[in-house]
Amino acid sequence: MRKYFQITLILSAFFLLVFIKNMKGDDDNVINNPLLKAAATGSLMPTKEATATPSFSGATPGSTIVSSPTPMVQKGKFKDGNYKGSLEDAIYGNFQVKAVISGGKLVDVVPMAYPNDNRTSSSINSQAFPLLRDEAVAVQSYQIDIITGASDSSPAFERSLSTALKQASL
Amino acid sequence: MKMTEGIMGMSVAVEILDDCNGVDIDEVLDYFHEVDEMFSPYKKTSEISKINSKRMRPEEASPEVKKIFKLSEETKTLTHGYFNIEVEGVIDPSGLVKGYAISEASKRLYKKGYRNYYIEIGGDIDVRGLKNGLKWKVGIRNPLSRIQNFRIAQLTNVGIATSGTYARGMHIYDPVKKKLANEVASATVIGNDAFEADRMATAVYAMGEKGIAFLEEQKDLEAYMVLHDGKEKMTTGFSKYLA
Repeated sequence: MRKYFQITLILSAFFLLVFIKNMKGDDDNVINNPLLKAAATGSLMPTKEATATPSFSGATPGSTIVSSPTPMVQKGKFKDGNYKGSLEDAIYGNFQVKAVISGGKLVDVVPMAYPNDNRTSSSINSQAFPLLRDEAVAVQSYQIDIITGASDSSPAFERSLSTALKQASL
Repeated sequence: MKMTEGIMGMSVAVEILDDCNGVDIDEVLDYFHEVDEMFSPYKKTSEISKINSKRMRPEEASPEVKKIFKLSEETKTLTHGYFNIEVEGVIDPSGLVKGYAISEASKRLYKKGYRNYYIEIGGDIDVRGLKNGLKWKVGIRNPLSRIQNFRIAQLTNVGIATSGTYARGMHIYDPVKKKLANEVASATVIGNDAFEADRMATAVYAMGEKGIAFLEEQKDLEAYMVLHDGKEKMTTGFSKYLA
């Protein structure tokens, strides 16, 4: 059982590696609906890949974001500003993000609290977070409702971000 | 109405576009919790854990667990052994339980009269009806780059599931070569429901590139694979889903 426990530990930590797929399409007009509907038709493929820096540097990740080749999102779908998401239980500790909106778009997601109660989860989060952040920003380029991918997930990330974007919605 | 939550360390989402009673969504989420309690190899109290640690004999399992064993055996036969929940004496039915649970939940919602909805657990999805008059647009994540080159499938009344090792490290075993499967980066399957899609995605991922030829022969199943060099392979019928 020890082996399973270890596997569980690793897998659970990796649940942070995911997409914000569930943020899309809410009846009460949360988050991505405005975001995705706003996405103008255009290239679905960003031409430049974000640099997912393995080291997580707190509140200054703005330089690693995808550069959109074409303006995809109508301006003003979100109110510019910083919006704190809800504090979520992420198994190994609390997790909370801040959404940064500029020009009506989500341009960054900044962690305010994340599980770091032991070395393993801390190091995994430092790797996972930049990926989650870049993906959250990049999804604005795609007009999609749901995402399929290998089983991974970050419920805490998406819930916290979705509450932040709900506040930002016009 | 849409609800999301985390079960099994994975995100779970249910979105119903028809007029909807929130209790019906709660029932789906409760059902997923029950399934997790019963089948998770990561929970000591699950029947699967009890069987693996010899605290329970397979014949003592609940009817639900026995049903999954039966479906697993059928799938093993159908896939010439490539789908196998038993690796070195340890049982892990994760390769089809998610899809099974999604399909069961989908049937329940359909019986209640809902026609336009989707249910997802950790990237495995069942879509019914339409969203805003259009087919559901499902992005297929590129396993080599999380933010680039999505394929987008336009779907209605099907299940779709993706297997790969990029998310949680290698976790699909090739029972024929007796090693962890890693020939392709990801395998996505579309079938009549999430159960068909999930179990076949697991199997063709284990098969590697020849999984495409295998699924060409199967009715109502289509596959799409991303290889490690970034090339794509798909069954002839898959392209009709692509946007």
